[in-house]
Amino acid sequence: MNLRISIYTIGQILKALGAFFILPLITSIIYGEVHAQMLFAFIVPALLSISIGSVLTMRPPEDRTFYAKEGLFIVGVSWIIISLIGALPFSIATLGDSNFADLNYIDWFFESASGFSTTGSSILHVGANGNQIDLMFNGGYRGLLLWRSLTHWMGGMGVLLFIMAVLPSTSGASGLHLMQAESTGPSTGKLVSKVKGTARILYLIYTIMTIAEIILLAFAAIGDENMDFYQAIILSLGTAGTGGFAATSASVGQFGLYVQIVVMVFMALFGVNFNLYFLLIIGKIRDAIKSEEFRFYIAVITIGIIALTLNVSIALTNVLDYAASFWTTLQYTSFTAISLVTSTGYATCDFTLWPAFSTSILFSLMFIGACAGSTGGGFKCTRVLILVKSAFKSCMKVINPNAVYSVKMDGKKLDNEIVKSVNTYFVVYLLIFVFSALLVSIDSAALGTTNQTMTIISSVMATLNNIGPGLTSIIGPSGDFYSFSYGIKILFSVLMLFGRLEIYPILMLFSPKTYSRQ
Amino acid sequence: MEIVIIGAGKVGAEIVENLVAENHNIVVVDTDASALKHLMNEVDVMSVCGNGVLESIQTEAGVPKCDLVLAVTEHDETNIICCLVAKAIGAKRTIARVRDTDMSAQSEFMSKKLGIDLMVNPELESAEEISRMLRYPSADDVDCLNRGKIDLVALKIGLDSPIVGLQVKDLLEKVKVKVLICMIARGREIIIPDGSTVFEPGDIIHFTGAPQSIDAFFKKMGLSGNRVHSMIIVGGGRIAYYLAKSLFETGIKVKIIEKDEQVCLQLADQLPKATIVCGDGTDRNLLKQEGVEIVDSFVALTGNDEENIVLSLYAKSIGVGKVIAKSNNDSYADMLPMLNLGTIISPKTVTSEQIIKLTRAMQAPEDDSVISLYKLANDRAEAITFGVSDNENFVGKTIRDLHFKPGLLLTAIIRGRELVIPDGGTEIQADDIALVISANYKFTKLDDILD
Repeated sequence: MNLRISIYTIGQILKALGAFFILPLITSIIYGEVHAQMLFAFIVPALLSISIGSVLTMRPPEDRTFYAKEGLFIVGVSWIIISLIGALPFSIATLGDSNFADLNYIDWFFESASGFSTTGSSILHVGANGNQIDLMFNGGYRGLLLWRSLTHWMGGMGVLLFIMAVLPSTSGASGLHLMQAESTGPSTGKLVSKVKGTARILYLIYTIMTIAEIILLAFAAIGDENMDFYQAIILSLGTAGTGGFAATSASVGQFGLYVQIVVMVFMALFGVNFNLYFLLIIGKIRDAIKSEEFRFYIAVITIGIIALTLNVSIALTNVLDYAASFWTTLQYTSFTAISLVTSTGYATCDFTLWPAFSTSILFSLMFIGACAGSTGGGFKCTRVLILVKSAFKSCMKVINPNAVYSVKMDGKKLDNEIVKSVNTYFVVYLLIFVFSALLVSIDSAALGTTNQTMTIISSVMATLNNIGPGLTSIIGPSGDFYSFSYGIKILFSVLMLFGRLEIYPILMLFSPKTYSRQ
Repeated sequence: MEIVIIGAGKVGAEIVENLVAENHNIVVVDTDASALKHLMNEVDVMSVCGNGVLESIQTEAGVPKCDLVLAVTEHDETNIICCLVAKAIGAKRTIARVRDTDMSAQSEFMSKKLGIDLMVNPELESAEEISRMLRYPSADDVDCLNRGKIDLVALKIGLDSPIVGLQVKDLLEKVKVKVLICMIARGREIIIPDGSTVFEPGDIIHFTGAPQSIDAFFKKMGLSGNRVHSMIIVGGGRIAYYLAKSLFETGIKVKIIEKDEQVCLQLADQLPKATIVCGDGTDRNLLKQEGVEIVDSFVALTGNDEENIVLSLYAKSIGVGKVIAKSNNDSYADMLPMLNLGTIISPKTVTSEQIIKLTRAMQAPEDDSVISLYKLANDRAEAITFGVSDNENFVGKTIRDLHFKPGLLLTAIIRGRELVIPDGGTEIQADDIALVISANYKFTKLDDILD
């Protein structure tokens, strides 16, 4: 492990990070929220980040060896540091405000980790003066809320990837190792021969899609009095990163059908592997549509929606809202299915009230997640496909032990190493899941009196798979994560980063071997 | 440039590593997935796994839109077909590694009728490299610039060298030979010297001049400037054949020792001027019999790296002046410097260096005044040749009047067939070709060198 170059690279990342604080600062200025404290809230973290970065990059390392190990380490450490620094604006800006007096730095770290990991779980809760998020929206914290949603956008495609796209290129394969460590899915390839070029293409597609959504949502302002340009940006940032932070407690539910459909379609689009968009651009439309993962993703969504709609409309006939019409039910179920499968976590209804079968469907959707190489979280469609296929082949081998089988994907034989790595990933994922659930169950005070098991399991699922809301009322779309103890909040924060970076970058930080010279 | 390289073996990998550093966009094609994976872990390139002769694989690798295709697999035929396919689907230029003697002989036909722009023959290149080394036996390295017109000689200064502590201008006064010291490599630093630069032990000085002057310079330095007169080559492969052939022109007596009788007969037929000995080159008695103690150079070219190295150690130990061994294993070359066994030559490295040079020469410069570009001293300095043509900033001016940027040196001027080593009073004429060596800049235009 080459610590020197890792530290140097982390320093370069931190230097670049400072620039990100400009955007929320500008927003604050536009909304006339600027006073000394608000100014400090963005300038202090920016300067801190730049100065730590400058110290770390004082001496360029002579040994430039850089392998996958260094890539994982750098991504793991820098995401933790970025989350720590990203929490500072919240802490500083709300200092001395009685509405937020019950929140401290650990809470804000949770919020920041939730933002960067595109989870969307929040510790903002209903206090004495009302819901804290509405207090923020109406109380002169719009710049801060923009920062909160911007973390989604940056975390979705990758903070390091953004920096690589913008800064002059680094030499060697270091870029590829960083990109592979940061992006999602079992195998990450380049679109063009240079990492920098690949990063630029990905961010270009990402930015164009985000702007398209902002424009489409801004149109809604004509008929929808709740919608304005600010709301359109916040919603789009939350959708693009498949995060789920909104500007008010009413989330997407307060807007009309048009906004809900736009958000729903874009959630589904951001959950697609971005390589497919690149194939579209270079004219290989057929290859894009043929992708097995894409077809599986569409199938999962379709089956999910059908099952939910049937179950909900049959079971909830006497609940006023759902009984109204089949179309209302469909509207709720399709939005929820897409929101949870892409790990966004926006809600238009309280799905914690749905019957048990629906809850199970939602749980499965939460597990499967979006496509690899998208901004979405979860276990990823490709992995599920590979897992199922390899399990099937193994069963065939039991029947006919001498037969030789190969796992294929998109008509090509999959490298055995990838199949193995997916299997390993599944085991590690399960271990972490079980162990975390065990830890969460210790915090009995926060778990309420009913549905404790579901609260435990779905809280781990919601954070580890970067979804946001859980499946019981405490942590559901209208609940929050405030009531958990600080130890568990830190656990959740780590789980969220685990989920976003797909376990290994964070896991390796716990190994003493990482820090030894050999 | 957009470059597609077919073949990720040793030659391919070495080319990739060098070209990536020069900011080209590179796609590598090979059938061996693990070789590609290994390469991807080291450098920023894209890879396509598949057979490079296939049109579909080449299309996937982006050949139709690329500027250059390099086919460097093991097999001549594969390389040739790769280039033919590449040309047919729109590659601008192609270079193939072809070792077959007959095929490389018809290179003009290949380039005009078949579209293979250049063919690189590893054995031929190696033989040329060896004969270049023999031209100045005391030199540590010889770079040949501008198609062999200018020799840039590298010489390492030992601890007890008489010139340690001298200034450049004192040295030149002392030896009274017209050579130009154009670059000094001191540790990791590259110095473009002026008259007052002082030599330190361990410096590697690079200088140039007319061949006679370089010879004379070596003599004055107390180093044997004598050219090689006789040579024993062990191993009668293709390199030996090419080498012997090129050495006849310079009048060097060559004796080739080869085990295989058939090969010996063939060589005797092809090289009537050489003495061909059939026998085991590792037999000490045989070597003595054939006069290994009296020849002034010894080249070990058997098919076995280890054998070559032991042979050259032996030759050094009995005091042969210039000893060269062939070794294809790079890691040997890294381990070997401490053994002091003379010069190591690796055909694969020579091939990749040659292809890299050709690639650089193909780069479309911003300004057509750039003729060629060479990298020196492990890429830390570069030598560029410019055509002056009728540039009014230069023509008719003396070197003294021109204000060059610091850190570069106008090293030589080629005027027609003549090589001019410039001094302050040299006047630049129209259609001169100027060789500039610089350590810090990347030049693309002739005017860039002026302050």
